[in-house]
Amino acid sequence: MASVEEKGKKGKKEEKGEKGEKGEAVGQAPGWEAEGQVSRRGVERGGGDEGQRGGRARATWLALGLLVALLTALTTAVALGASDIAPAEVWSVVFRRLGGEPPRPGTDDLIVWQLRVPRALLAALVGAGLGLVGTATQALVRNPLADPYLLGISNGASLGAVAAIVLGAGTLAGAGGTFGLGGGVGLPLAAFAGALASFALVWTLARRGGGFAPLRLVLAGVGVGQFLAGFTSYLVLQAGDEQQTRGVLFWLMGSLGGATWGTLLLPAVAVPAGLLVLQARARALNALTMGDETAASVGVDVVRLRRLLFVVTSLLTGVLVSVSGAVAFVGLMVPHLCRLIVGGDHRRLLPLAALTGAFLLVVVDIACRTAMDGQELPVGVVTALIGAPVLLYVLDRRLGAGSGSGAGA
Amino acid sequence: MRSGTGTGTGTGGGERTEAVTGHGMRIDIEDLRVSYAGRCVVAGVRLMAAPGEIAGVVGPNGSGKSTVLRTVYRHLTPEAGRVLLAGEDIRAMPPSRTARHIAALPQERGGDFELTVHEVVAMGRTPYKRAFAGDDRADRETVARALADVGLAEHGGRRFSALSGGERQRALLARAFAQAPDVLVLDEPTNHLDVRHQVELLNLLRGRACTTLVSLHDLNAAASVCDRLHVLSAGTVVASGTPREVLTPELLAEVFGVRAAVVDHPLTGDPLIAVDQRAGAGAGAGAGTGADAGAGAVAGPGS
Repeated sequence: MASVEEKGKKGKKEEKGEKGEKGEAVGQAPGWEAEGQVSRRGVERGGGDEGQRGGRARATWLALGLLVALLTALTTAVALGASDIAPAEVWSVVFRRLGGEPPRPGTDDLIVWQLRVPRALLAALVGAGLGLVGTATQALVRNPLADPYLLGISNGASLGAVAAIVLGAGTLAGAGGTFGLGGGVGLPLAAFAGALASFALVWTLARRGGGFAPLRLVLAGVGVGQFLAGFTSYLVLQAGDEQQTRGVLFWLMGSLGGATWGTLLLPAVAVPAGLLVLQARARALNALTMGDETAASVGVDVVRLRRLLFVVTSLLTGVLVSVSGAVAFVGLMVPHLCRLIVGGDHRRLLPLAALTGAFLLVVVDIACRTAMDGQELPVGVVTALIGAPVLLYVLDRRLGAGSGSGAGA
Repeated sequence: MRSGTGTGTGTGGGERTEAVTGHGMRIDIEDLRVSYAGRCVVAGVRLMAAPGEIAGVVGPNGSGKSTVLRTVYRHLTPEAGRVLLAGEDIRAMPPSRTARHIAALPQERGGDFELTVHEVVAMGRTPYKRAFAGDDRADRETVARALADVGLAEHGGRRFSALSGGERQRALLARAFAQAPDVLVLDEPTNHLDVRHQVELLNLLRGRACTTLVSLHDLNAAASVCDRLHVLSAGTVVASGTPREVLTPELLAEVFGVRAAVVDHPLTGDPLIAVDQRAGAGAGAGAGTGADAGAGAVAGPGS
């Protein structure tokens, strides 16, 4: 070992001057550096152990900040609307209802408690869920471009849900307004089945020939997703009258309009459960991003982990789609953003992705409800407007660099 | 030559219950058969590595070297046969337990997930950790030592994907060290490295006390670093023994299809294979010893 370092210092001198990077001198072998790729686009996050502590401290502060931001955003979301309500009044209503008091007639109690609070909470839960699903999917397919929407999984879930409505209930009646528990557990179950089936199909298509190129996966996802979306539209259009069709299509674009306390139940159970299950396997997820062989060599049962991730991501996607339709790109953007700030360690990434997703979607929903007078935009439309440019940026960064990263097979 | 640094096992492995040797554990591979997509890639391989020694696996491309190694670190499940760790079938152990004894340096390059070097090396602690468990002091010390052992002590905070090829290879080796293994399995560790980095990496291996199973393309590197060599050809072992016993002109002609001489290395005294780069393929007959060396080029990496 000593010899490596010693040799390191000798040849180092010539190169050192022009690089002029202090603080990375000690112990670096010259030859390694001579390859000239030192921090190509490398952002250094401090050195050694201090770097780790720095990352952890940063993650803790970020989590606290996000929590505060989320509470503020939730308050704002409830306060803003057709009639604005003072934030203090918002909290007093919430506390009174939590304390078991009945709503006071002639006040904003009902608006706050029956309409806006469930909707704000649904936005937070769906956002958190999407952040988690995106993070898990990216680790599962070892591809930072993955996200349930881009891979067609959301479309699979939508098709499942719509098929359940059309075939099961016979009519689309009521579907436009109250999804979620509108169809009992049948709707989320159908969405889950659709998600799992489409994920399996995309996976099989992308994996053919043993390789696993990032572009192939994305193209397979887009292809399958578009096909399923077309089929879903067909089902919707041939089954309902104009009014209902409009409602369902609105929901398909990703909408939180159907939020009630009842709608909240499933995601309120599924999202925290998903976080727990994934967080318990955070180290294994780290290993999986390096590759199957690496994961196996550090004692991860790769086949079992992958099976579990398939089920967890499909379940979560199914639940989220059944309550809010297919919200685009949040699952892609959020993990990316978080990784840039706290790095790729899933022990930090998972909870932060959940918080960031929650905050993002609450804010987006505020914008959706207040952007146009008398009419609201589906959240999916706005997330697509933000997300597609992010996708293009990421594509450019990854494929433009010619790294073909994640192609390991 | 192999004065161990004593890091083999013991430290940091708080949850380890098995007897700790610190000198490596024996690996036996018995009648291993592996198939890919219906094609038999490894057909009845039998080889071993004694505790603490470096056992090399050499052979032409497609002879099954990587496949054999992948069954040892449990990436592949053999169709038949067993891999024994100190006499015990690894398939009978939970994966995390094997991973506390056997660490690997596979050929895969890893995705780009913004992991730091430190985080990549800390992956080596995975088999010791329960769900939700954070890194304790012992983990941090083990990781820091592993980084120092490969000369990357100051680079823990850098992004893994921004490292050069040689640095990456050393970081991955540090991850294997962080597993505090008794057995190291290395699949072509010197691939993509220039000569100097090859020498440095192989010297790192010489310094460890644990059993090492390594596949190498470069026969001269294998001859100088390995205590024992197994030669694979078309999925079976065709020769086993010390480098000097195994690497004969006849074997080189038969298995690798080259005309070569085996001489003593002028500096180290290790066997040195000098391949006749001018001879056509399969021109093995009539390969001499010593005297022909001047006409041939020394077998290099990737030969």
